Amino acid sequence: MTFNPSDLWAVAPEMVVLAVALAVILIELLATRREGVLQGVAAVGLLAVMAVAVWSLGRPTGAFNGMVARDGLTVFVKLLLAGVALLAVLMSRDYLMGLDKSAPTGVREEVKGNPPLPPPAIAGGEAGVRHGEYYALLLLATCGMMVLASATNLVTLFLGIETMSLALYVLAGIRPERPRSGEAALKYFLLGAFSTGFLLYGMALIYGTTGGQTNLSMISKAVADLGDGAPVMLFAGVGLLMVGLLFKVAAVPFHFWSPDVYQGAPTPVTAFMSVGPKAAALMAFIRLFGWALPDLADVWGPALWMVAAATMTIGNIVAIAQRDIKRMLAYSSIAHAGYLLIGVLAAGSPGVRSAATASMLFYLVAYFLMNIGAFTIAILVSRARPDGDYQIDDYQGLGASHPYLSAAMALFMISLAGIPPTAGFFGKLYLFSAGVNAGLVTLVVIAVLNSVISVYYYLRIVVYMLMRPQPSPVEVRISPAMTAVVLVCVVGVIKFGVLPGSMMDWARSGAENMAQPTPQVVVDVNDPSQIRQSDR
Amino acid sequence: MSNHLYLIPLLPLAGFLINGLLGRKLGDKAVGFIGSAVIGIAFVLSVAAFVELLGLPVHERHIDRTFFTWLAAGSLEVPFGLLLDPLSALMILVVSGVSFIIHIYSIGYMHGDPGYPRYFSFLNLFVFFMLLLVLGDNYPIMFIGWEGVGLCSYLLIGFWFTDEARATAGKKAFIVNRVGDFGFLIGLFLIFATFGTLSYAGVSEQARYWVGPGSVIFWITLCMFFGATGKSAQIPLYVWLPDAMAGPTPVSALIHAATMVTAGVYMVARNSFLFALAPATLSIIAWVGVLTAIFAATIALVNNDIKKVLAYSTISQLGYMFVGCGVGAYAAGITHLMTHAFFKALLFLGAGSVIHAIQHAHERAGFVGDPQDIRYMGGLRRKLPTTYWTFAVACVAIAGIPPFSGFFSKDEIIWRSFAGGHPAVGVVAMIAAGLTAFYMFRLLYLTFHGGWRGRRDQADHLHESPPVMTMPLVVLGLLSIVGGWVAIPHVLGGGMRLEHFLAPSFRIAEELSVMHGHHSVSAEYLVMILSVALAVGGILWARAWYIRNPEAPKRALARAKWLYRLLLNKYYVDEIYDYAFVQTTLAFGDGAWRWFDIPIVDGLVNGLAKLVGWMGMVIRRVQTGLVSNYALMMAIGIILVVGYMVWK
Repeated sequence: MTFNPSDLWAVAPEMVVLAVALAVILIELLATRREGVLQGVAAVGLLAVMAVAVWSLGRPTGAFNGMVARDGLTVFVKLLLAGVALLAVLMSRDYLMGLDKSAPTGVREEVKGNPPLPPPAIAGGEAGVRHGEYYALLLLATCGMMVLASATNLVTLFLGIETMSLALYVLAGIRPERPRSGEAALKYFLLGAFSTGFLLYGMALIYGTTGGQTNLSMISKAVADLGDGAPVMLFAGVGLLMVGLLFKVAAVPFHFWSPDVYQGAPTPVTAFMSVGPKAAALMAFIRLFGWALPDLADVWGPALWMVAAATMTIGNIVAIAQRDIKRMLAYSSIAHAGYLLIGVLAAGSPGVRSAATASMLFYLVAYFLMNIGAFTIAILVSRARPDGDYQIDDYQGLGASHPYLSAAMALFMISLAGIPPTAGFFGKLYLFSAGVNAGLVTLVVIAVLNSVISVYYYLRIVVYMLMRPQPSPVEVRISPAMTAVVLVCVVGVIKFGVLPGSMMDWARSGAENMAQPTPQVVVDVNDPSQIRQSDR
Repeated sequence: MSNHLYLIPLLPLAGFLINGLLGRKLGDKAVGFIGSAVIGIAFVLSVAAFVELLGLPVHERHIDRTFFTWLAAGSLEVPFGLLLDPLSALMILVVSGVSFIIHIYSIGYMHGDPGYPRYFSFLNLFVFFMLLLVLGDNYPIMFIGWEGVGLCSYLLIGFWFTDEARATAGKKAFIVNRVGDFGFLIGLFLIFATFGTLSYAGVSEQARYWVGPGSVIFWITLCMFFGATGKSAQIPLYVWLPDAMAGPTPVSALIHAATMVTAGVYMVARNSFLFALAPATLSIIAWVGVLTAIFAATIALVNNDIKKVLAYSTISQLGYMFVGCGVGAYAAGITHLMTHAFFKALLFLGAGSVIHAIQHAHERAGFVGDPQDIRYMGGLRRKLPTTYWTFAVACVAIAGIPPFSGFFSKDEIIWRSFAGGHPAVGVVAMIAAGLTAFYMFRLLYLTFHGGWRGRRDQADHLHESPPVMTMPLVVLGLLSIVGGWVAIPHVLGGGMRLEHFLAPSFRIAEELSVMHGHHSVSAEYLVMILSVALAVGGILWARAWYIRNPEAPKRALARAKWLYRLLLNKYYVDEIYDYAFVQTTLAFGDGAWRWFDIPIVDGLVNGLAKLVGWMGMVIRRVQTGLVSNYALMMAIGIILVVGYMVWK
């Protein structure tokens, strides 16, 4: 097993992200604590990551003996992830700077049970969040997602998931003065650890039943060799692995953490979490289930079918009952994960694998833009309130006092509902047509019915903004960075809603330019001579 | 230029965005400048494209460029492609050229209007959609342009939306157009179902070797023509155009005379390869066109609103264009489209200048009244000399007096109806031409000749419009004179240069055409002399009635009162439509609402909504906030999922 220097290109974006993360921490420690500088370094660093990602594009191949893939799909997803992180960074500074104003959380409407914790004493008597630390964690999570999205080996997959999750656990609880934030972090961590256990257990079972394989294409080969004689333990392993990933995309019934965590976490983190981990985990899904285990599609297919149907239905129905916009968007994001699972299922039938992957990529881009946009406006509106709360009632009459802001919000809601001419419409169109081509007609019908249900709660915001009188005047202040984020999202949602062709072409070429590398050196665990003394 | 063809529609779009988003900040001067400049540049680029096309050998004058894939879903792929061929080259020249002139005119006409930026942004948007409509190389792009111009028309008719009558007129135009668009859309569905493609190139190639049933093509073309009757204001859907005069007058000139209303004619000409396969549809088109021509002309005889007369005249002239298409003389129809764009835009802008002057006088004299009623005009010749002379030129041109432009285009259509085997159509078209001459000169005489019939104190305040408005009149006046000279027929020693230029666009239709009329030089002379004689007769008749002997029309009317009333009330078509369609639809809607919507639909929907809402309330109870509960739920989920997979 020799090291090939060109392998470094496969992980070049990850390396740059790591370097930027370290740089941000060091700058805060050694040079300056000015928030603008830290934000600027993180943002410019992410732009550099995107440039490197594009630069690293080449012939589809693997790297590090088949541990990660270097292909169009990973580059596309890495660009998307860097974009998500970039917009999250841009919206974070205003949010973090405004924290001092907001009072500790009031009475919880939604979450009963635990009494609110008293605000903990903060070391050094220092309130607020260290910006450098915050950006560094965001970047580390991004790094983990990138590894996860390019993993072609169970080990790298696990590595990516854990890097991502650990950073996110801390980010969810980064506001120690706010009990709900700490509660969110603890819930996320406990349930996340729980699910990681199952994930690892599933990996172990697969490792055991496939003769010691961790590389995805070797697993695929081993499964094919087993044929009908595949042991039940293999199915159990696949099932547990699926559960672990489903937890990360917040699919029903593994979604319980997400509304509480989304509500409790700082809102830019919520926006980041609602897109990034889903995109990364879904790419792992595609590689694992679409490319490596299509032979077992009749085993995992029906189970995933049920999960997808339940996820979109429960997500949409419960979203209707929400009064808090962050919780509403949390359930909405559960529903969108359900739609996206149609793409995974469709990728299980080899004929439409590329088309299904491409449609998922397009959908993720659309979802990224409209969801980040909606969260950004949610931040802006909540900051206009004295207590910084996120009630849907706050949107009453906003259209009259803030026409442009309301127009942007209406656009995001219409796009989330999947109404043309927005990116959300074409996302659904491509995704659902891939589903129909894969023969998932019933599931697509369920998804379309769900889209109809979702119109109710998305358009409720629009109705509130335009058709209700304003109870009391609000003054929403918008900084240049926030304006930039909203503008990027508005332009993107319209651009891909009117002219989806170019993005779909990129998505298609990304999905077709895909590598599933095999290791050049295969270690046979059953052959003792191949294992060095020190490994025993 | 053809490599950057997309710039031609893109420039007006940029103008729309700039004026629409920043208009209020920029100030009126900048708005007017930007709005006109983008169209001016688009016109220059159109000229460049035209010149490039002329430089190519005749059989290569067909430049089809795909810029990107607009959308792809299943077997349907729609590229964003633009087509530059003689037909579209001429159309972009006319559209951008006339638009530019009218934008300049608008700077003066709309001066001081509080909606100035909104006006220019809508006008730019209109030009964008219109250029898209004529440049697209496939049906979806044409359809976007088609719907877009309809939208802009609606927005601009109701531009002064605080006046309810104007807002209603906008709605009427939109709804009537939607009826036609429905037919057009069905036509497009049928095309996709029949040919499996939506590009002109693909469909025309298959149409060329069409061996399938003719009935399919008949229905396709009939549906498309129905769409054209909406956009181009033909029987039975013409009713919206007279009401559309509620918009600002330059809008009437641009949208409701020179460009948008000719979209239907363009569409039929663009699809000549399909229409040539459906002789029955062509006959229907010829007859609808000529009946519309004479029907609208008779209404124009008695109308007293300066813009309404012009509106009916537009309907009538559009009828001629359809006659041209219906008898297979597509080039003649398009030529008339072009000359009509010149003289009709001129007539409307001239009317705008008159209305502008009278409105101004009304304001000065502190008088509130209708500034468009020709019964209270007269003698404006001396007050508005430039307007008068240019208006007179346009009247001569539309009446069909050689060598003004209208003669060549209209006469060619009439002659080709005889030559193409539709003598009855030709005869009716000739009579309508005589009526045209009469009502146009009636309008000219009542407006500009004789003495002032308004209030005396207003007369002192009548002034010619500023140069920014009169210069466009002069330019259009020149075009109205010379515009037809590119279509001088062979028998008069001309070269029919425009027809030869346009020929490649209609090549397939020519090949497929079953009509090969005989050509007789003496007959052509006869038709020419007859139609000129009728036009001169109409002018002399108008002169006799409205200059020499103003009592004569009153006596004539007294004798045929019922006819006068019938014409004045526009054959009661609006009332009939209102009774037959609007009231019955309303009654049906009311009944359906009362007996179906409330108990069944609302009941079902509200019931479902309540059910879903109730489910939401119940399911969210599961969200207890307790980690141990969540973990239990997860464990149950894992047991279900893994259990299913293991024990399946």
